[in-house]
Amino acid sequence: MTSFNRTFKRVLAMLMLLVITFTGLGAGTLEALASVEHRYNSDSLVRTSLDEIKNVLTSTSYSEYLLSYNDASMATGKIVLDLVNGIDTADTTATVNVVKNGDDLSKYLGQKNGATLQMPEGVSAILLCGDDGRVSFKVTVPASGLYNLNVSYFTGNVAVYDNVVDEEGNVVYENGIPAVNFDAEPTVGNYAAIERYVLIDGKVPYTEARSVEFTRVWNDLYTFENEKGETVQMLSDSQEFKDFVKAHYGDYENFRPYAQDSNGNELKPEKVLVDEWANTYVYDSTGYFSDPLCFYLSEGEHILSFQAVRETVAFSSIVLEAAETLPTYAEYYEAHGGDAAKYTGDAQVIVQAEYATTVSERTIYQLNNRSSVFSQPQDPALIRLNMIGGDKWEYVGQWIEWEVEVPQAGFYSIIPRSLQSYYSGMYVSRKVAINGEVPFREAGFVRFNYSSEWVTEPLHNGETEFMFYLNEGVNTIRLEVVLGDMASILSRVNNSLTKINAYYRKILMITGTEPDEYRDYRFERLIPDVLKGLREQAAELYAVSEELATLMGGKGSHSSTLDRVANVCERMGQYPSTIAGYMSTLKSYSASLGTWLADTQNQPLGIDYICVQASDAEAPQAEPGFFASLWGGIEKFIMSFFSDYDSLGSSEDVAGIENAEDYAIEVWTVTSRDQAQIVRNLVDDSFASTYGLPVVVKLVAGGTLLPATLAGTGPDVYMGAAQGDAINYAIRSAVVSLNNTNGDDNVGYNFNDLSRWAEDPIYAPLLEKNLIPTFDQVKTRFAKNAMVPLTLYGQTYGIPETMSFAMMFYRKDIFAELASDSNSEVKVPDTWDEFYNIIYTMQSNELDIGFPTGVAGSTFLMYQKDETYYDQGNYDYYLELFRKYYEKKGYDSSYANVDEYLNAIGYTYTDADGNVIPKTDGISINLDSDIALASFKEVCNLFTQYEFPVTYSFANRFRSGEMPLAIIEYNNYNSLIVFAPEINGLWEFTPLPGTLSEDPNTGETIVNNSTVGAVSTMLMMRSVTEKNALAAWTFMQWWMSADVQTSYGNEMIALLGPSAKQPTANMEALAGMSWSKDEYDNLFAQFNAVECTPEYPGSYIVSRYTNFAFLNVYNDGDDPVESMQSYITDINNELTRKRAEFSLPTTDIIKEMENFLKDEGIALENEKER
Amino acid sequence: MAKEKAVIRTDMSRFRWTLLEMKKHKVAYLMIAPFFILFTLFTIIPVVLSLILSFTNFNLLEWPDFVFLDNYIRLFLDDDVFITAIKNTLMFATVTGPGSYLLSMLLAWFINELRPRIRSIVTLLFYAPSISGNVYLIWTIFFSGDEYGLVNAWGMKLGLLSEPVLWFQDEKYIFVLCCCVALWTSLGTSFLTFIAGFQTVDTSLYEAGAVDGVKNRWQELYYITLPTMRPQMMLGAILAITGAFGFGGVITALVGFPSPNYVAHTIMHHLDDYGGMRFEMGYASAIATLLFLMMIGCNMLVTKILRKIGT
Repeated sequence: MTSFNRTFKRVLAMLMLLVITFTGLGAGTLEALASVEHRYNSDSLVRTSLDEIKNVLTSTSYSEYLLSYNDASMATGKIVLDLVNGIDTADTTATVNVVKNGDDLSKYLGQKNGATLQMPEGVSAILLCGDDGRVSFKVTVPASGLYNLNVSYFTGNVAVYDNVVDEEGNVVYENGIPAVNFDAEPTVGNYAAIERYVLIDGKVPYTEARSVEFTRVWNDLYTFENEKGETVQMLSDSQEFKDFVKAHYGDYENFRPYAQDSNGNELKPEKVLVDEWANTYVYDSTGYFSDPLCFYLSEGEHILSFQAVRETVAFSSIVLEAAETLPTYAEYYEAHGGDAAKYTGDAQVIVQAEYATTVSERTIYQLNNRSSVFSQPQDPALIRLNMIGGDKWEYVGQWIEWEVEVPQAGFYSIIPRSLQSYYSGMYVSRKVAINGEVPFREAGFVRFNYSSEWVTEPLHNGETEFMFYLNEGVNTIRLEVVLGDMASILSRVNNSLTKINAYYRKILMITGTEPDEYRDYRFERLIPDVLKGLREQAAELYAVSEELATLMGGKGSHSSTLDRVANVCERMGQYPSTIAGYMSTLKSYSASLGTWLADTQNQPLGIDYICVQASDAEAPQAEPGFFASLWGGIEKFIMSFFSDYDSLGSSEDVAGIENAEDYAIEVWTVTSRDQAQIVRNLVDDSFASTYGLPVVVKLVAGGTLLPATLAGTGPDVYMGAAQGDAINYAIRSAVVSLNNTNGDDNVGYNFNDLSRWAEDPIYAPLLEKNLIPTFDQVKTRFAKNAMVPLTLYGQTYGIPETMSFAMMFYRKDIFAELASDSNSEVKVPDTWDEFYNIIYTMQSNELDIGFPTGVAGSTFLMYQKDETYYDQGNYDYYLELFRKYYEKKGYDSSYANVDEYLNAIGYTYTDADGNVIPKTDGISINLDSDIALASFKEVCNLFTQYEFPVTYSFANRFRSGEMPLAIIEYNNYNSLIVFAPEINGLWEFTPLPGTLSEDPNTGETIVNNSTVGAVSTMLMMRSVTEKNALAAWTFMQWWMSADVQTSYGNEMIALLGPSAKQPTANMEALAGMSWSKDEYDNLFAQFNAVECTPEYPGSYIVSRYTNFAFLNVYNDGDDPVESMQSYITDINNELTRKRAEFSLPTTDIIKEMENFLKDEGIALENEKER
Repeated sequence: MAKEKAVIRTDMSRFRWTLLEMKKHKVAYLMIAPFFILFTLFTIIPVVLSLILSFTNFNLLEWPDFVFLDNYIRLFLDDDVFITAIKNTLMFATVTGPGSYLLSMLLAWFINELRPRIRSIVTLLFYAPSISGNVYLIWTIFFSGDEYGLVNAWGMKLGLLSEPVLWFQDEKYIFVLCCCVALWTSLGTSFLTFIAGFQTVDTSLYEAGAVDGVKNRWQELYYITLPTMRPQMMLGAILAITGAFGFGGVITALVGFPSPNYVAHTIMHHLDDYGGMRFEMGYASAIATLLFLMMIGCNMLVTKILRKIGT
């Protein structure tokens, strides 16, 4: 029955597809679209064409690439690229600035850090590339061979100015250099790592070249009180800090360079980007290959291109050459004098690891470890930043650098006190560089074995303990995360996994997600290559598993993860009849293999201090004896009764304010302790210094706002309230309005007119300096509709904090594959017509599409057709009705006229422009309009007729490729970045498909691709007084200012990792986060077309009943229109009841008035419908 | 028991006599005081307050206004959902209350027959679901609406289902599934008390029973075991009743709030809906009062039934 059904559907789908293709309908719409305007400017201009994607998506892996150039030798020559004249202008699409010696560098480099800079020595011109395309170079290769790529780049932020273009859009050249327009705002870097594709002759040679990263360099900026009690600031790589560290070798107790909060806990120093020139070979950013990447170039002309993914960059040199091979340890040891050069003195230099001079990422910061009393320093109760690294230092390529000063040149042991308690049974690896260079081959991967305790072992590779030759005086030691011996294993597993996933998808396209075990799919004939591939991968995985077992000294859980997948693949490949039965097993096994792969790539390691000493001396004791730790534990236990863990410190007393408590505001936040600490720090740093107003930040549990407000002990400002809370609390007068012009302080304040505080001695200086923007100024920071859910009848009760909305995610690679496989037109849908076309293609390949269910989905369609969510009748009609009714019926004669009376009973309000508007919006729901019902039906059909899944795990299905297209909240970006690193660069999110309509003025066809957004909000509670209301407003606007939101967002990423990217509502701050150029363009295209549903009294009921309606349709096959209509009365009744509770005009009252006037024979001039 | 006639004292007022008695037993009063103060503060006062609030209109943030019986009138005459909620609650209570009670008792009886070491292991096995917090969420994995949910996946594999069923979102299945989960998690404290109860039975009574002509294990259970452990049974019954009436959180966790078309909407949910979502505390208090009365009624009924056991 079911299989008949499916066949029938498939035949039907095929027929329809044919019809569409032959009638040319599909093609016609597509052509028409090319010239179509996008309303709200929401067109995404960056959708890479599928052809282009194919150029970039190569399936060749680096190991295969190397194999195919097996007989090619490493190049002997050196090709220095000409950064000025060597640019291939025809193939360059990025903005390019050339700076020659003598030009003003400060315009370009060190943006936002304000450093004074120089050209690197011996360089006459540098090249700056924008993040908006590719830069190509002409390369003449004298002799064929494998080349490594050596690049000198600038680690700070780089500003790139727009090029001057002529009428045809070509870049204008002056003296052979692209002309630059200095008047326009430059594109400035965003502090993220610089990321590029490397293309040879227009193609990515292998997958690893698709992500090449150049790390930034970060300093700590220490601000603390020195011995003399003065507040000093020093950078961690400044001479004074190095002197400070040297002066405190081995002494960690007495003096610390850290600022402390009011409880005495140490605070992390700020991170500052370093502006300097760095030189590196191009490495594989996944770390699977520890040697620099090789590129094969045959003799003759070639084009080498860098395609931007992230960030602007400045190059001072690009060189193609073979990297030098490193000596072995034995060679190195002999070369530096062997045994005779051993240091034999008794000097022991101990550097605290938390005093690192530079790090590669700002997420690497000092941590507090309490697991051992030997950790230096240690306090039984307070936070001491006594280590660095841990799980913040686990991704390949991240490094930390320290500086040590030794008394004389010679061979020393380097002994870190390290903690690798993260992966049992495994070891993590680090690459050691002394004074910027890896001294010998074995130092490329030193090991840190698992131990539940801290260990002090000289750096070793599992066999040999190494000695390092240090110069007299200052030396740098850098440890960088590498995969070590695991690299080749992981790379092979990764290759296998990619292939197995591709095979899985190919089989899926035949069987669908519910394979029929008893059917003969004839896989042997349809996909013989897949069967062969499966067998090959099984063999490969078995081999890897063997190798892993030898490396780890026995089979463990790791091997079994591999063996399971291998076993399933083997069976599927050998006995095709079992394929259908094994599909779901393969899926779950390969998902767990993916997780294993991602986990094993992480190499966390914590370091407490680094000890440099003679190799014969005994290593420092790593852990205390039993009694010492017991005593430490007892001490901690006792102290736990006396320390305050909840208070976040307070700046209640701000110097220079009399009656400070009158101005003090209390802010509540419902987040984690760490996040609240970030808020606290930002308040201390930025708010206190700018405004000097006292603020107390409290971390509270969720759900406490209501009882606290009830008890009158609530906050002045509440952060992180849900969208509906603003209106819900406001109609019960618990929240005050921010733009209230009627002068009633109980309703709210008017922050558009700050003059009422101008006389106040505290606020006057702030207002004079224009430090406090008005409400209308703040409003412009957000998407234009972000205020809608927070506004009720002209009063706005909060400002948005975060905003999220649905966008369309799609898998580039699968679309490219579908486009090459099928005869029909495959295109990322831009309109709903195209979306329907894609459904057919997807479903004929048994792929799923994710879509929001029920009204959540149909709201897009409604807004795109300019239909409102609630009924919004004709204001003139209602006004006339109210006026005539009360004029006839009579009203309280103490009011001058009927308008005043209407205003007094709360039936009308006056907006900012002075218009009288009736409070009739939201009187009933508009989901029963023709368009709304049609939209609802359309969405229901997607689930009933087209069988879209209702519940699914998006990240999982998107990762496996089963669901290559989904419309879902854009912050799913976060989980994909972290959860599915293997598909990085293979997917994209773009604005929603749009509805076509005709512009009433011009008659042109326009696309409306609005999405629906939701906000979280920040509220000003009733407990504010006239005095501290402005302080509360100052705090709110300060928190949502671009600078503060950017810092907050960056701190969050630093603290919680890349998945913690904040969907902040401040558009400027969001733009400042580390988006790639494409992501940014798409995101902001959609940001221009976000609609928000308004909130009215009783609106909580809408989602409930509409969900019931959808479930009735989905579960019981009810008719969508009837089902929705049956709930409309219930919804409207609830709205009416709630409105009556707050004495707002209701449908019942309107009806009564209409009947009354009809009976009286009074006609109305205006029409009810707008 | 024949009622003793109280001695009526004429030399002092009843109040003075009470005071005197209290003074005499002041240590006992002192000892009960901590509990009694807390009990008054956190149980009696709120109950009384809620009773008072049920006659008002109270939105939690503004001062309540007195509306007399309006809330109750609306509850019974103008609130279809409440009627559904009563129906659901009673249905839940009749299925899960006695169900879990009998289940606990029978299992306890069986387990009691096992050897001590095995008994403690089996007890733990049965008791585990109710101690480990939100373990019932495992049911959402079994009955996930995703086509990869266990039941859906197997159902489709075996050809029983043609497309994924939204088990916890489909009116047809919600009620039954929730009852199953309720029974599964219900082997809690009452189950333990029953086991303890069985242990306390004096074995000599069985001998005496055998002499007096008890013929089989059932008679033993009914005439000897159960009457001896009446206090434990009473406790178990009270726990079962409050459990059955207050069984709302699990449904919310499984089905979401509110359940589709209110199929699993209990009085607890209705209370949450009005108290938490709509800020109508007066109305919510009226609901709470009714729920309270229903529980008391059931309690009285159960006490009566328990008295009959073994007679």
